[in-house]
Amino acid sequence: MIATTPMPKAQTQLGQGLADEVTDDGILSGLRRLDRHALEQLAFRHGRDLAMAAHAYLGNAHDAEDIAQETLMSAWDGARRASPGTKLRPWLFGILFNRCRKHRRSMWRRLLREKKFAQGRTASAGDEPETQERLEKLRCSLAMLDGVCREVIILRFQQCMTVADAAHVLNIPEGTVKSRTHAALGKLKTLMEQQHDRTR
Amino acid sequence: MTEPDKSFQQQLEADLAKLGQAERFHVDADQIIGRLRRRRAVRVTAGAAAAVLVFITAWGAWTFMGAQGGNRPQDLAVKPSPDRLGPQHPLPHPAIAKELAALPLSAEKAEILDGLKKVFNNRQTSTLRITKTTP
Repeated sequence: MIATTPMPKAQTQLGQGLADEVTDDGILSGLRRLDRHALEQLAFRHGRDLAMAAHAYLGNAHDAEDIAQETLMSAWDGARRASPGTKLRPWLFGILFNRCRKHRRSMWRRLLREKKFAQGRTASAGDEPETQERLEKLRCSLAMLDGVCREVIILRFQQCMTVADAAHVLNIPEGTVKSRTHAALGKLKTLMEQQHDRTR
Repeated sequence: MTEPDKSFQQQLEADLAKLGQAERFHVDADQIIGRLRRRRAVRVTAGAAAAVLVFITAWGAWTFMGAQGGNRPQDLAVKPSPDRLGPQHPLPHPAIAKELAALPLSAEKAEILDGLKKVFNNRQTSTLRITKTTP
């Protein structure tokens, strides 16, 4: 990620201790043994990234938190079924997007989401009005973008994943990731320009 | 479609990083463990409820089949014996039946048997008729 989120002091100290100890492979093998310490490390390292990605996908913080927690629960349950060479981060994001897609399919949730979407927050109070406006446009444009494009935008530009990792997450060839990224950027830019025209 | 440029991509990266920054996401191990425990409790409760439901349904079906004079295994297994009151017959009690059988065919015995006839259904009646003919 380009901009890191400020963490509470206690969490930062804990995180440094945790982050230095075990690699992603170690966490995965810990999860296979149902080791609680591995779950703590997993939540610390990837919890916020998962929540941020879910937030960008769903446009709602409460749902994003819920989906991120569910993803970690699924990782806890499914670690034993993961093959030995599994990369932890792409695997987690694969679970996350499956959960997000499932969440969006639900009809009654869709109605609720539309209601919540209007109440959504994009920027912190400290941001400049211009930034807030830009973020609002981005949020609305992302919501209008189709799921396939949104996924690739989040993976490539929010989570800064490589093409190979994004391909692994989405279970598609690398060439398809590239073409989807190109198409998604074009669509997003057009939508943001339309938003800009509407506000003027 | 417009060609996305590098500056747009860089701006997008910066904005996407800011997008959820204002939110406080509570994603920690304690909450995950708590949710896992709650989910396990729900599953155990649901499993127990399903087992009770299955048991009640099976028992109800069993009882209903019995009331219908249906093919319960014990009904199939028991063949009414034509010449004696078997232990499978709940009424009359084997001891009473034995005493009845021992009695000579008299007015008193006939009266008892008639009384029993009124009480019992047809299934028992056939048995009683056989008892009556026993010397």
